[in-house]
Amino acid sequence: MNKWLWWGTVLPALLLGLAGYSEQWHLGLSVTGMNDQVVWGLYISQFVFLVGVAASAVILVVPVWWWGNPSARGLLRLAESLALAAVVTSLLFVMVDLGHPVRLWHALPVIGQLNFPQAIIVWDLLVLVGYMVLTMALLAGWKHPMGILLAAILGVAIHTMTAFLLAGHPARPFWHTGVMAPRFIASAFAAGAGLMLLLVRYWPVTSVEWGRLYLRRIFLGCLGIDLFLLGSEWFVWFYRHTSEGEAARLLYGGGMGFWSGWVWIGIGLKVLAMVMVWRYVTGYGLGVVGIWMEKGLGLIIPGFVPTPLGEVVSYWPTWVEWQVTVGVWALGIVLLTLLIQYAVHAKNISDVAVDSKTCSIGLNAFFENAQPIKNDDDLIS
Amino acid sequence: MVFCSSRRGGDRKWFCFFLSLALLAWPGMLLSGAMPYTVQGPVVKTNCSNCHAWRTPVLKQRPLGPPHAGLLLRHGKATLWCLECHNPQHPSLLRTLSGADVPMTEAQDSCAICHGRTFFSWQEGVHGKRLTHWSGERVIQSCASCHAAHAPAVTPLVPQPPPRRGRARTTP
Amino acid sequence: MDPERRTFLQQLGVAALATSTVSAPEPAIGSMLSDALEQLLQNHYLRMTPEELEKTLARIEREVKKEYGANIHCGNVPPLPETSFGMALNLSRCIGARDCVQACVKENNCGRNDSLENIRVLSLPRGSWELTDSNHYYAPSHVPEGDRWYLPVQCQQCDDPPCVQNCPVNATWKEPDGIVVIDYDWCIGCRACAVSCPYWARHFNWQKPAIPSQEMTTETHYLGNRPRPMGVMEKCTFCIQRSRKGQMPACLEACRTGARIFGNLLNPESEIRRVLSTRPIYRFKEDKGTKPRFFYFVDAS
Repeated sequence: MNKWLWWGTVLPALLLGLAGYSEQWHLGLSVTGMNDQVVWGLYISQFVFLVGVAASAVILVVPVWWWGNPSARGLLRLAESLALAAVVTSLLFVMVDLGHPVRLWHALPVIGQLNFPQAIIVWDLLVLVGYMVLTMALLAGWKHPMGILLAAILGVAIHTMTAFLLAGHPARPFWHTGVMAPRFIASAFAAGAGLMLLLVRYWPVTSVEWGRLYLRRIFLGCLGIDLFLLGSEWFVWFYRHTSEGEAARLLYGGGMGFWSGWVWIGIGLKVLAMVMVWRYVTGYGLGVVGIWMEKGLGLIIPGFVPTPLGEVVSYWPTWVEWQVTVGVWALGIVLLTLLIQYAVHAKNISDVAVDSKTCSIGLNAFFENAQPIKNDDDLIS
Repeated sequence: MVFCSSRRGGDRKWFCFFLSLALLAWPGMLLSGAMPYTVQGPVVKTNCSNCHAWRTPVLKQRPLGPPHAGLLLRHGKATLWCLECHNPQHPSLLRTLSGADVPMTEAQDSCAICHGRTFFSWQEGVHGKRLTHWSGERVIQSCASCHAAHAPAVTPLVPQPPPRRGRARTTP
Repeated sequence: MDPERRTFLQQLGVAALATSTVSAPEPAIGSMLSDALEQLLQNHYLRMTPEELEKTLARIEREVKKEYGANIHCGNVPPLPETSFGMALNLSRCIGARDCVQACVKENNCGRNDSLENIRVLSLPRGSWELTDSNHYYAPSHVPEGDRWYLPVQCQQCDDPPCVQNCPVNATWKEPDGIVVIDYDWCIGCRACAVSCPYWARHFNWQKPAIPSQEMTTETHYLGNRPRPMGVMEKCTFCIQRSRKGQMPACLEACRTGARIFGNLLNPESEIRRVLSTRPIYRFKEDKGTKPRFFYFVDAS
């Protein structure tokens, strides 16, 4: 893509976001469409989606670790860049959602107060920050088998905690389900694989055929699991007419108007992405957008509607809210671009090979299933 | 124990029977141990004695004529007569069925004759309302604070305005 | 934060103030800056020393004077010994007049520009407990309406409060007298507590609350009705500024039907204990595991 066009698009978006945020800074969150009934909105929905993208780096870390597949290894840097950009962006979305961001030091250990281990937000923040530091270290070339292992554990943990953040509230029956975490993981892996498959086209490494095939399988498989889990949720919600199922009845039955349509389009896109064998790339795009719609606003809003006192309210993101959202996304995209450039240049690609080799050899001693690397030609040079 | 509601118009004998029962019962119940209290509420200054000092009140129930024009008696579903509560000799005093005098400031004792259950509930602080402090001296509102003695049914009220839907954005 | 570190930060603040006053000789600006800095670095309520607390309360009074033009007294009455508050509400008596709602807004200095009413009176069709049939915006000419019954809902001061569990920074906690309070100067405004509350009892200051200065309640409490900053949560505190002085909460004082009963659950002689020991009671959404100390009951006859 034309470099100038790229920056010409991203920079105005950044400025737009900055302008929106300065308005929000002065007038408070009243400039958003959120209200006392729907206390989380667009920002948190983006947070949820992006944590999923960050978590999905695991799908490349694990094969490198387990099978030591060289082709997947070539994509490791891409996954790590995407993960780091996504985790930073997701944390930014939490930041812009705070009513009092200057008091963030209250959440620091020792000088602040952390409600640990009670509050799930604290768990979530701890694993997110841990994951961020880890991906930074990995990208900077930290070579230790433990790093890969940690990445795999934390990757799953961040999204599980995000799911628990929503699922831990009996007050919100739409979220109060044990299926939330597995669904999150499945949809996250699908979204991450889809995004990487889209990004792979700009990835300078040529020998990625295996990786593509593998990612495609992950994409389809996880999307399928996600839809299956959604189906199981539907059964519980609709088999009996309970008050807990009210939100689901409103959402899928059209009672939420625009957002009902929104979530059905999201599901439709996911299904379409699964059957779209004739245009793979379009399918990935549709799948990612579908997940973004369904796991974003399509998940957050029905958690609040109806309210615990049975009120049905509407939520519309305001222009300022979209501005800030676009700005934060743009920041994430800038970060991703820079990270990918960093990873591609400065002999990082060859670093990957050495890095991964060290990792897999180191871990092969522990795991018999791992295939030792046959010859160096498999490695990307 | 709900004496008034179990009584039908004209069934005077049973009414008196139940009332006597209640009368016998309530001094015992009075001792049943509620926290001490002070009663606060409006005391109605009656001007009945202006005329009834020299004119004997009519003992039988009848539609109230011109001298009583402003007086609405809507107590006990229009089956009660003034002298059920007021002392015929001293209209500014209330009375119990046994004929004991009840000063206006102790009007609840008169109410208790029919509304025994509510009376005890009021006495223990469940019915009615305690004023200003939850601790310290217990000051409770009298019956007449909420229920007009001659028309005690609580009338419908105009509600306060509903809460705001959404917000009014104020720019600093 | 340990005291040494705090003093250090405060000295930093003083240094910043000193440099700022050099360029701006007007003392008001200097004190404004130092106030702002002090607020930024203010410690958690439960970790403040008595001296720090005194300074903070004085600063709050100054700030309210500046922002709202009202002279308030910001107090800090500690919990009473041997006291644990509870409230009971007689559903047979409630006629939905919303006197409690308005009194609460006024007493607690709630912003008039947001939907910050801490009490919501639900109007439900007679014979139904289905909350989705409820309406708390009802506005008939007179109440009670014959075919409705009324359910006032506010903070139930749960003994196992999900909001406290979910607050990431311990900005909300349960006091020894059973009141769930918020340190408005510690809350970061993440709204996780509002998400977790099954009673919709927590409300957020989306903007700076607008309070007419002549309507300001001047007797306030740090954890209670002092004007809240923008971007923090607020909730019912059983009118902590009143109840800890033995007074009735504003909702009780305002209720014209005497439907509410408030008192010390530890005093067996209290009216509320009388209700609990002689009437069948119901606790709202007890199945959510919240252990509320707000009891609904009805007249037995």
